[in-house]
Amino acid sequence: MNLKGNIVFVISLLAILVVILAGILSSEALDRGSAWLHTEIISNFGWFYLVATFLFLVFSLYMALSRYGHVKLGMDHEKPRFSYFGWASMLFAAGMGIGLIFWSVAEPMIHYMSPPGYIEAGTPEAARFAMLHSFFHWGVHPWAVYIVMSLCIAYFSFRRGMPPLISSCFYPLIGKRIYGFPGYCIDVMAVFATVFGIVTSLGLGAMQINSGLASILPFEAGLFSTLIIIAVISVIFMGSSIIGVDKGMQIMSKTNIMLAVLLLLFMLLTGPTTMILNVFISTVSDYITALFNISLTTHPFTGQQWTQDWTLFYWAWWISWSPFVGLFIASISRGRTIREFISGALLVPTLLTFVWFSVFGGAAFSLELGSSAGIAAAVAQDVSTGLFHLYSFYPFSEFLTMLTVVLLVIFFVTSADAATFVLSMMTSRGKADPPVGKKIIWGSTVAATAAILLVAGGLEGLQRMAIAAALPFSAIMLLMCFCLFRGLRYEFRYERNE
Amino acid sequence: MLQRAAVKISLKESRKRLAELFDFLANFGTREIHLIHVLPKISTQQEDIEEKLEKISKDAGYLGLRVQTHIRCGHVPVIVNEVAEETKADYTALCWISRSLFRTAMFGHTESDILRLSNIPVFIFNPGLFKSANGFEQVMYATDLKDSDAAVLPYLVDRRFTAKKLYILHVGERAPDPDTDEIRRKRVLDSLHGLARACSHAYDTVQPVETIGSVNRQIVKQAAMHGVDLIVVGKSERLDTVSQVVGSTAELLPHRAGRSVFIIPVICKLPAQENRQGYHLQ
Repeated sequence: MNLKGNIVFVISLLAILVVILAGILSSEALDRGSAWLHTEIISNFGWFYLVATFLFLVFSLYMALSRYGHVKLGMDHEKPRFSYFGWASMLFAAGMGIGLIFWSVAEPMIHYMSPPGYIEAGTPEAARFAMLHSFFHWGVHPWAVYIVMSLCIAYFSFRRGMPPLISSCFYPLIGKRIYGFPGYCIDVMAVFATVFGIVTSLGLGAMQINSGLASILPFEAGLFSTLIIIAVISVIFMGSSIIGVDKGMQIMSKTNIMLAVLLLLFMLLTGPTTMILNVFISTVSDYITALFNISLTTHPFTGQQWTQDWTLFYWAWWISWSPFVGLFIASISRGRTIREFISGALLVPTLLTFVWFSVFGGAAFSLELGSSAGIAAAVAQDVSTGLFHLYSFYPFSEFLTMLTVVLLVIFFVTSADAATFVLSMMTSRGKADPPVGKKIIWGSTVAATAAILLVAGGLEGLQRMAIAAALPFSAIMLLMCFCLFRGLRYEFRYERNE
Repeated sequence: MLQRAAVKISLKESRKRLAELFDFLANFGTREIHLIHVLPKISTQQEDIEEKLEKISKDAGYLGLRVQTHIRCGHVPVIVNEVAEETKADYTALCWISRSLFRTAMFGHTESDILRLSNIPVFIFNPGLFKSANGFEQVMYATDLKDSDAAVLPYLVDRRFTAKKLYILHVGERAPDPDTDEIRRKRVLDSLHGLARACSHAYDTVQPVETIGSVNRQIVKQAAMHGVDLIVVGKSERLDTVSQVVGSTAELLPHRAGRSVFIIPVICKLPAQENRQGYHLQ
């Protein structure tokens, strides 16, 4: 094996193994250390996350609306590799997917029962606040974060002919040093954030699938069944990853979106349709009106803890996921113009997310406010059961639960598949078709780590480590915006003579 | 074209420094100077000022320069530029006075304002601490490879411009990818060699220098690295938004250069008959 060509692979794999070993041998120490780091970062740099995320949104809008909007992410003659439907499905599957299913009922209910101090819990005002902030956390901001990352990678890779790596975006700033130590550092950090993020997602998500299955099948949810779920999912996602993005990932994402839309329509038509539509329209209106206000509010006088626990946690989480989602989205967006890419990535998933939250959140609120169905109480007891509790008030509840578990599994597989692909690409100097051996190594590492940490404890510690990685990454992403701007300005100034 | 100079005199300059300036100007090919002193208001010390100017005039006269003095009232930068225009001066010369950033921000910088308002070349005399003041061996022309070349080159190839070595520097912007950057670099070097050929007859050596980075910082760095005595730059009137706020490269350069700077506005076109040496841009 050529060491120089695999330096990012070797360093990141060794470093990750060391951290995981620390998690296994001393999960308490990892938990304590990561909790301290997480608290310090959120308390002291929370404002920075808010400003950075808002700037990413402004930058995305500027790029879409400015003269740079018609620049193609590829050569001028290139056409998009995937259809609109395939592209949007994969965008959604990689970027949101499982989290949306997990939180669609739970988040509005939690905000309803535990809003910040200046709102009384369990009131209509709290319900309105809950829906608005669910939209806020899952709306345009996360996509702006992903857009910045993927736009930069796509521009420098497909238009400027550099390898699809995060370090490539820094050429205008540091020149050929991207092939040296600074470039390796950036790529290793991206691998870190991706592995930690996907490991914790796989571990925690497997627990949710387990509890969903246990509610409809005759078995007790336990550690062993969770490990079996991890093993099954790992086999599927590694198989899909080996088949390639064109086939495995695209087919699964399309299937999933169709299943999700079917589920959505069923819930809309059999549920309180008028209430759901009212919730959708009024929350969209609230969201648009309050967008600027809530984007930059840390609530320094009251409710700051709530902002830190929710908004800042989300922002850090989206940023820590951005290397992997951004790289993946970039790799499927070749041939689209900047305007097409941003408007598609900003509007389509956001709209689907809003409809999803309105349908599930609206249905939950209708039952909670109308007949005190106890959904909020169930969520308070176990966050992962909120959606399944809602189904118990609907016809074909067992079928709906099964369908949701299938959705969870496929969303999980698509996310893990994308992560394996991206990890292999990042550690193969940006090869568009990374070696199968690396896919297997990363897939196995992720699955084994999730299983081991589930047994030994330390999954949440690892999640906090992933979030801690968001701090340097937000600075890196701001620099990426600058580099992209410089790259485009150069193109317009010297190559197009405009 | 460098025969007649308008020299701003604040009377805070030491006689030694002024003598060095006049010596430098004489080597620059200057034959006639107009000493301009601007009073903020009618001063009771007018006679004293006249006397001091008289002494300065005598010092300049010893070097073979024809001298006229002008004492006016008003806003210093505006008056200096007005007198320079009235007297049909080929350029304005002044001794650079360094001030702290705070002082400049609070009270402004007269020399900087003269430079900003001037439509004719401005020579900023700042020989530095350890430099010989009465001539220049090495000159650096910092080109943007745009419209400034047409205005600056006639001065560089003028026979009165008696330096031995000329560096032609271009500070560019790194291209977004290595391949394009290589093409950019090659194109820049081709242009610089073209300029070098156009100037080669006027100097013993002409050396193109290509670099990337912050324009101001790189000019200062390269000038220090090559130990040049004089930096020559063009001054464009077409400024981007940032330059309009913080000042153009030409306006900022004297603050950091630590050596003499000759700034030629792009709008300052040389009459055709003055171009005695002739040059060709590639």
